[in-house]
Amino acid sequence: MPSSEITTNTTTINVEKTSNTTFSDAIHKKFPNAQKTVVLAGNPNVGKSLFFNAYTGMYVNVSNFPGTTIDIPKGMMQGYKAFPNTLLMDTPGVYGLSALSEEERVAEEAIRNADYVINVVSALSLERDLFLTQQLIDYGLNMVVAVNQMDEAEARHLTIDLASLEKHLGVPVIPTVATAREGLTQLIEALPKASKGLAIPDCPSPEELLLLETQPLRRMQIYGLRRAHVNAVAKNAVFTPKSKSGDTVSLSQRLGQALLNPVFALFSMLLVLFALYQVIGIWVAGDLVTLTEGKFMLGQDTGLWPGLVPIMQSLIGKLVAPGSIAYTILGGEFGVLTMSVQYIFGVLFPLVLGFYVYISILEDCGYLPRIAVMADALLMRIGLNGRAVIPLILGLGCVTMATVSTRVLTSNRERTIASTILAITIPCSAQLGVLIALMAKAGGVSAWAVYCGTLLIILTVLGSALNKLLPGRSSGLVLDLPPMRLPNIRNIARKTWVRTVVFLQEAAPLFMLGSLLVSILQATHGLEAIQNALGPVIQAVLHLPAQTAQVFVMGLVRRDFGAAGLYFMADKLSAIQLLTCLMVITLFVPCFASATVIWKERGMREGVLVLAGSWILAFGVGALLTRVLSLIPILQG
Amino acid sequence: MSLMQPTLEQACIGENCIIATIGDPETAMLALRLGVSEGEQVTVISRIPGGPVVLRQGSRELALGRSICQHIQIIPQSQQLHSVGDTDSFRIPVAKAVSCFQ
Repeated sequence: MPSSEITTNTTTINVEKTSNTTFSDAIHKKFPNAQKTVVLAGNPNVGKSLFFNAYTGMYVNVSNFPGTTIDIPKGMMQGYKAFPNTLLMDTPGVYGLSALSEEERVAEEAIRNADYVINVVSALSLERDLFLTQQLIDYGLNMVVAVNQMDEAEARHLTIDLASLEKHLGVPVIPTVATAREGLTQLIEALPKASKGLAIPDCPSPEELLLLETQPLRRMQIYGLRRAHVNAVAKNAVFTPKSKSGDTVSLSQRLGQALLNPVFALFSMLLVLFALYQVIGIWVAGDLVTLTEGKFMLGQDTGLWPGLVPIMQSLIGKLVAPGSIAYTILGGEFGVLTMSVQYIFGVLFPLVLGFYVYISILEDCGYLPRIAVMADALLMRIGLNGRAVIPLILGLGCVTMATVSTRVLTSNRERTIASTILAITIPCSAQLGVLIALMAKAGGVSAWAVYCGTLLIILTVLGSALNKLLPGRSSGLVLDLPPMRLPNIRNIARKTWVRTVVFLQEAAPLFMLGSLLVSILQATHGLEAIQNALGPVIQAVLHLPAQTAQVFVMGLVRRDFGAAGLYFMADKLSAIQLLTCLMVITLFVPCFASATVIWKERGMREGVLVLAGSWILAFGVGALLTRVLSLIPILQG
Repeated sequence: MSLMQPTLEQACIGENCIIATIGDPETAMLALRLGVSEGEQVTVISRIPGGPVVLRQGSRELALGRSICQHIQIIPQSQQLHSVGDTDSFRIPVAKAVSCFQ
C-alpha cells in the first residue's frame, strides 16, 4: 500500500494512504464513462439530497448515520452540457471530517477523491455550517459553496452578505433555493471556477493537517482556531434584524416557549394525535382507501370499471391456466401481481403519503423538534433519545414505514432498540382499526386500560432490557429548534414526495417477495398445515378456539385480513378471549412485509431474533393475560 | 479548580453563561463543530425536568440532552463580574448553584 512520510517537528511518521486507489477503481468500474467526479458535502438537513435529485434525476434519502455499510448515492449528471460524463456523489450529512465515526470516514473518502466539491450550507445556520466549509478549505479542496434556504432566511428577515463570504472564504459562493430549483444552474456554471479557498491563518499543509487532526490535543487546538475564524467570518456576513427596544415577544416565540412546558406539550400532543386519528384514520384509511382499493383496484360499486385486479387476473388467466399453481402464485388471492399490487398502491400508498404529509407539516412548523425535546427524558430510559418520536409516530401508521425511518437515529444501537419496539409493541393503523372496532365488545374502557397498560409495561421493560444488554451507549440529543412558523407548502410537497418514493422503492419489492412466499404456501396447502398445527397450541396456551389460528395466520399476511376473520368470530368469544386475542395479535410481528423490511434494514440475525422473540413474547403474555383476567374480574361481560 | 465549576445541567433559566470547558472529548468535538465552543456565550431558555436544556446562542435555539450537558462546564452570570483570565474570581456561590439544581 502506498505510504508517505511526514516529518513533524523531529518525529517521522508513516502515514498510509489507504484506499485512494481502491475507491477510485471501484467507482470507475461501476461508472466507466465518468471522466470527472463531483461530491456534495454539508451538514445534515441542509438540503443536499435535493441537489442530488435535481442534477441526476434520482431519488434517494441519504442515510445520515452509522449502519453496517453506508450507501453513497452516485449518479451521472444529466443535462448540463458543461459537464458531460460527470459522476455526482452525495455524502452523509456530517458536521466535520474525522476518522472517529463511520459516516465521517465515508464522507472524507469520497471528498478526498473528488475533482470538485459542492459544499452546501444553510443560510439559517451559517455560523454552524461554515465550520465544515472551513475544514474543507483547510484541506485544500477545489470547491464552491451553495448557500441554500435563502427563501427561509428572507422570511426570517436575515440578510446574508454573499460578497463578504466569497471574499473571506476565497471560493465562489452561490445562493440557492433548492426546493424551488433556484440557483441550481448558476451553481453548475460556477463549478469550473471552483478554487482552493483561504485557509485559517498559519494553517499547516493539507497533509500535515490530516495527520495533526488525528491527535486529540492538536485537533482541539486547530478546531478552536477554526471555530474562532468561522465565527468572525459569519459575523461579517450574517445580519439579523435589530429587535426594537421593549418589543413584545412574537407569537411564534411564545408558542415555542409554551411547547416546552410539559402540561401544554402533552395537551397539544393529544390534540395532534386526535387530528391524526381523524384525518388519517378516518379520511385517508377510510374514505380514500375505499376509493383507491375498493373502487380502483377491486371495482366495487363502480359502474363500468371492473377494477384493476380483476383485469390483471384475466390477463394472467390468458397466459397460465386458471387454477394452476402458477396462476395461484401470480394472480390468486395472495398473488404477486394481484394482492401485492392492490395492497401497495391501493392501501399503502395513500396511507404512507398521508402520514408523511402529516409528519412533514409537524416538522416544518417547528412542532416536532419541540416534542422531541419533551419526550427525550422518557425515551432516554429505553436507550433512545428525542429523535425517536418520528419513527414511533410513523409506527402508528405503518410499522414498515416506521422501520425504514429509523435511519434518522444517530447510532446503530438506537436503531435496533427502536425497530424492536416498533415491531413488537406499536400497533399499526390496520391494527388500530381492528382494535377500535372490537374493544367495545371486549369490555370498553376497562379493556382499553388493560390493553394500553400491558403494552406500556412491555415497551418499557423491553426497551430498558435492550438498553442494558446492547453494548455501547446511545447518543444524547442535539437538536436545533427552528422558530415556529406556518408550514411552507413547497417544502412539505417535496419532503413528502421524496420520502414516499423512497419508501415504495424499499418496501414494494419486499411486499412482493412476501406475497410470493404466502401464495406458494397457499398453493402447496402450507397455510392450512400451519393453521392446523397452530390450532391446538392456541387452545392450550391461550384458551382460544382453534379457529383463531386462521385469524393469526391471515393477520401475518395482511393485518386487515386477520381483522375480517376476527369480526366474524367476535360474537362467539368472551370478552377475556377477545382481549387476549387482540393483545397477541398486537405483539407478534405485524405482517410479512414488515418482517422482510426488518430483515433488510437490521440484518438476518436481528430479524430472526425479533421474529422469534415477538412470537414467544406474544404467546407468553397472552397466556398470562388470559389467566390473570379470569382470576381478577376487571372486564365486564 | 474545574471540578468545582457548575455544568450546563445546573444552570438556571434565564442565566447568561459562558462555556468554560467541555470535559468529554467526543462531546467537545461535536460541540465545537456545532458552534458551542469554549468562550461562547449562551442563555438558558428552558430546562426540561430530567430532560434536555434549551439554549439560545446568538439567533438560534438549541436543545442539548442531559447526558451532554453533564460534560459542559460553564461560568455562570454571577461569576462574570471579573475578567475571565482573573483566576481569583472563580468563587463558587454554592447556594445559588444548588437552588437551580433539579
